[in-house]
Amino acid sequence: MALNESISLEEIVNGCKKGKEVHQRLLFEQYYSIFMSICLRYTHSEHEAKDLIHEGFIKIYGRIGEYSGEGSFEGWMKRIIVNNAIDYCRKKSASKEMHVYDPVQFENQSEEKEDSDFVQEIDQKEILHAVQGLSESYRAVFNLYVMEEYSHKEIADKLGISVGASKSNLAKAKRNLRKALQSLIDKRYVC
Amino acid sequence: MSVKRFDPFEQNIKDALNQVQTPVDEGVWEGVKAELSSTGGSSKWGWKLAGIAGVSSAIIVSLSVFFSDKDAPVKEQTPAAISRQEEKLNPVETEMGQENASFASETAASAITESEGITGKKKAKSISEAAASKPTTNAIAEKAVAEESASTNPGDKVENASLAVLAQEPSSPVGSSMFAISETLVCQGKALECRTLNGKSAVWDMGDGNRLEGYRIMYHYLRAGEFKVQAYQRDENDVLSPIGEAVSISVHSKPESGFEVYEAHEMGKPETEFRAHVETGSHFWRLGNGKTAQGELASHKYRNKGYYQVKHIVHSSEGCADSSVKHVRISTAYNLDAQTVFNPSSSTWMPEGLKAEGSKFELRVIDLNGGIAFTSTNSSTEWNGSNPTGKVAREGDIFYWLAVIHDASGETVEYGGNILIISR
Repeated sequence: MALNESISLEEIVNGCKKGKEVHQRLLFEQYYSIFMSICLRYTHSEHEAKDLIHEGFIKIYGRIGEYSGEGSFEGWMKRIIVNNAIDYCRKKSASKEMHVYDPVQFENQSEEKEDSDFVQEIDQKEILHAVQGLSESYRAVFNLYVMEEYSHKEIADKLGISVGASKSNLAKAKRNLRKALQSLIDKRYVC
Repeated sequence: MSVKRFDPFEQNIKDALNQVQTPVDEGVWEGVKAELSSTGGSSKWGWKLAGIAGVSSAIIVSLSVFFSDKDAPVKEQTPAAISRQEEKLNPVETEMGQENASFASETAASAITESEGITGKKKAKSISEAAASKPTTNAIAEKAVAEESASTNPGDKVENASLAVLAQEPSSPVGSSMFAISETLVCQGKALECRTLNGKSAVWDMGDGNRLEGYRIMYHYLRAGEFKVQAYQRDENDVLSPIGEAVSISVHSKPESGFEVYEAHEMGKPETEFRAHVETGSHFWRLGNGKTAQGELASHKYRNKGYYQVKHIVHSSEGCADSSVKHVRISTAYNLDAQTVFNPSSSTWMPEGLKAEGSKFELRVIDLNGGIAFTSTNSSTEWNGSNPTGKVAREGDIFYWLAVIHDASGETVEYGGNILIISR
């Protein structure tokens, strides 16, 4: 192997399939940041996110033998991480909240046209913090729709809710998020 | 597939969240590592528990156990340097000691006689139960032999099969038309079966001064030698009359298994040596990590620290066998004796084991991003701490190394570890 090269992903995957710790560590090293960002978005705190990423990597290492080599390996891993996060959200929200589709409220909100440029003035970590501050079911729908780019039908199937509830939750998530971020901006000008 | 269109608010949030970076948390890694190496740990709390130790030792943590699988040792128990516990698997001789073999044999034989009429497995069980219920010398010996043969360790099967070769592959039953003896060549301590063919009880003179009575007896000779077995029938006046011709039995001495363990300390070759107490016979070793060796003197390089159950089996030229076990603690993992800290300003880096091995190898040093910083196939080409662009590693940087060795036997062995860069 020539210098100036990186250890190939294929070699890392094969090493992980054999249970080699160096390769497991290299995989962890390379994808921790990406996957931790996902876990942080789906949870209320860093503490919970660490539980999720821990479980996610254990599942990846445990199921890596199932990866056939076809398709994106990162995509394959990301699906495991996201599905793990969805399971987590589903369990949490099942014990907490019921969100009923409110067509009037939803239709009204979908017509809102508000300024969004102020978001660019806010630090990424503050935005993350605001997302974490959403309720479990709003946060899950927002993440799946905006970040994972799922359709409302797919979200409804994954979370076991109706399509209408998915749309409603997204609208409410955005409204609450906007409110939270707007208050951050407002606070800057209070003093 | 249609491309999803987001409103400006959604797009701004998406862009911001996609830029969030989170540094690797060593506590999480320690937790994941701990769960991977355990067989059923709790995933939820793993990182928290490991984090306490993991964070404090994160910088200098040594990934000393890199390759698990077959090299995994028996769970480590104490920090003693090297301890050895010897245990005899086949306590025939020690158990039998100076006991009265005649009485013991008679007890066992009479117990078996009571089982007349029971056939097959049930009969065998009755014999075993009889032996177990009468813990006399021969009974204990028989039980020990049975336990050895019935070892639950699948890996024992091969050796046990050969251990029992004389018992399971007897010469054709010999004797007269009146009685039969299972074999004429037997190992010391192994069971010999004698029975009458007419189903009537007989007195058995074993030729070593002992007599037993019964329709079917099992007997263990305590010493090697040539013995003549003669069966007698007792008439109503209590007079013994020989039935058939006497049969010669050759009892071969059992080899004595036992061994010493030595750790060699020559740098780069920390081999553990096993030397059998006796030179004669053929020696087989099971080294506790899936590896085996042969010969009176065996050596092995253990990659991981820990306790290993080493079993020695010795066969005599007559086919008799004995075995013994020691629990050996390996205090120094081999792992090519690679340094885990490296100061590029004062030295170069190359695992000592690669210098001493003399085998073909491929060594790679890899940075945390998977970039290859150094490769070598020659032990004189050592790493100076820089990457291919000439950039020298900084204090606190961590690298991984992977070495693949092709040894003289054609076997490929992989090692790996980490290196912490220091400046002084």
